[in-house]
Amino acid sequence: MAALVYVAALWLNQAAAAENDPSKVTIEEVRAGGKKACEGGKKFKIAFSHSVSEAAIVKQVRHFADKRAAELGCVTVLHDNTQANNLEQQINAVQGWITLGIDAIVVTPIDESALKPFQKQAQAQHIKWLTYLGKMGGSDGFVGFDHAQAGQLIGKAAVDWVKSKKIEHPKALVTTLTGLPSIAPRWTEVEKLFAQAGIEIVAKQDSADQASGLTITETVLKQHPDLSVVIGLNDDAAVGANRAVTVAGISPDQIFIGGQDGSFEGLTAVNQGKAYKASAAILINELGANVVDLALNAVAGSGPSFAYTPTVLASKADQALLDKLIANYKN
Amino acid sequence: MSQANDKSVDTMNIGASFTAAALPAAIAFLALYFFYKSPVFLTFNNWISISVQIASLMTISIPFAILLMAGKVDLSVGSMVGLSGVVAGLSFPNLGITGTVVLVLVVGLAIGLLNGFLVGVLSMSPIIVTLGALTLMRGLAQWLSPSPLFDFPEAFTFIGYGRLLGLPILTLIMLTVLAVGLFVMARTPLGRHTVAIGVNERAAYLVGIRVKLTVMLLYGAVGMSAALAGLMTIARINSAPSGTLGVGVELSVLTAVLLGGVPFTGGRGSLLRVALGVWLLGMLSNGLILMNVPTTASLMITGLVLVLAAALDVLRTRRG
Repeated sequence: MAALVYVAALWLNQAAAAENDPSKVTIEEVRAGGKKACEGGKKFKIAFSHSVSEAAIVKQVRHFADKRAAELGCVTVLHDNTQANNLEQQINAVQGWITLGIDAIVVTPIDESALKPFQKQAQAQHIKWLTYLGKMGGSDGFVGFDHAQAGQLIGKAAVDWVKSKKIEHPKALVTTLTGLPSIAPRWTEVEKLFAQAGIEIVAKQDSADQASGLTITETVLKQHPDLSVVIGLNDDAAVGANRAVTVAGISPDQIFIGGQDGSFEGLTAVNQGKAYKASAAILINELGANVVDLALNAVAGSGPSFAYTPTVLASKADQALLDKLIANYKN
Repeated sequence: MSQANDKSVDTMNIGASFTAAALPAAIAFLALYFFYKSPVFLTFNNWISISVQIASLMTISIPFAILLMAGKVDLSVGSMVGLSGVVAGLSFPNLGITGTVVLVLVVGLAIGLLNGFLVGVLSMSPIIVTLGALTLMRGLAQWLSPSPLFDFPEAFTFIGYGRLLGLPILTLIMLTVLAVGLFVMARTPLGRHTVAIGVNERAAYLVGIRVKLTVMLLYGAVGMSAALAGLMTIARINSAPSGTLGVGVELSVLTAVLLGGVPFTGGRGSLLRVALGVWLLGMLSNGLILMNVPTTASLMITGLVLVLAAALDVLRTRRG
């Protein structure tokens, strides 16, 4: 009996540890759990609400979630139409899913406090509540990727490039999105690395889309024609910066542009081998599949339900990986 | 008594002149301030850069201002920008550049005319109709292009960065649209009819103005200009992201036009002041980036400047 209690306590501790540190969970564990959940022959319905479903990369994540669901054959994925971080749209969708009585809801919480009552309502009806990117207390699972890892990867790549070029007073532009503090490690990690390496951040501005990325870079280049590094909060901002640099006729050897996310357009720009040198790319095929598997694991208890999807550095230095990431978008 | 009246008239004239010059004065003051903080600001190259950055906004704002002078509004322009970009991106491989440009402008004109028909002929609410069009077109753009469209023909993207007669092509397009707008308002019956409709639609109809046709034409012009702005934007960024292209443009246009002194109720307005309003927005954005003002502070400063400019405009209006 004592041994049983000990084993149970050990298992609970491990589960708690995994919840506290989702980065320790491997993709294989997540996949195995999802597969196991389907073995009983039961059919599941899960729903996924992203806050910016209009973004190309989110469409691709949804595509891979649907693909994994089709592969497993026991689960249907419902999607909503929440766009531009519209909280009301998200709440309406979540309310509808609770009424439907589905098995699990995976949601990017636009406003955690506003969604809290719906989390309680869902969990009271035995609907598992998982969050995507943002975290909420008392959740049954977490589908995430590590913003700090992305910031570190792209920051380190830029520092390495600056060192290899022996630039004396390197200057950088970093784009941010101050309205979304939950993703701040995307730029704060870069700032830390740049401070250590003596790279001066001469401009720090909000930008998450191509048009503003272009305008900001164009303007900063007027003030600092010797700009050596641009780090985009995401690939869209970096693609805009890349356009500004190209139009300004700056030699690709003189500047490092880096993005984050690994969008198709960003990866294509990296593949051209010019100023856009790297993107901290999330493995979106795995991320999409994780939406399904982690939700199933939470419902069936068949495996871990808290996990990070790895982020990798996509650059010409590893052409095979870059090709693989680009091929993800062609499936 | 007569002397007192003369004095009063003089005071009014001085006051009116002061408030009429408020917007240009605000621009001049800001320009000097930004120059003081960052000498690059007043360089010719930087001003050319600002002109390119505001080109799309100006291209929509001019016909939009004329429409607002008629007392009507079109809130769908942002999605029209997005849809036209996507249609262009999809059409390049089959239609080539000329065919694509013609198609996009025709689509813009047709959607604008449809909005105009619903508002002008069927007397539906302009806000409801164009908000509907805003959502419909955004959905259509995303449905047409679930994947990103980018890397357009070089001959087309040249429009986004190339120069003609020493000036950027986008700036020239913007100036042409402004010139056409000024000509229409000053030299054609359409300009007078527009203002008359804005002052009193019923009275305009009774004096023989073809109100429905005029409103349709104005919406058609706004639709086409938004489509043109969409082409200008994708030529500049060499990409047409269906989810984000043109998002929020309607608010920027509305801000610029109201800042330029066109009241929401219509009936009056000056295109030159609207152009200054657009310039003020572009200049603010440029100057704040040059000074590397953090985004939060930048938003507050932009809001404050807009409220001050609007307050000065109210003073101008009250003084007549």
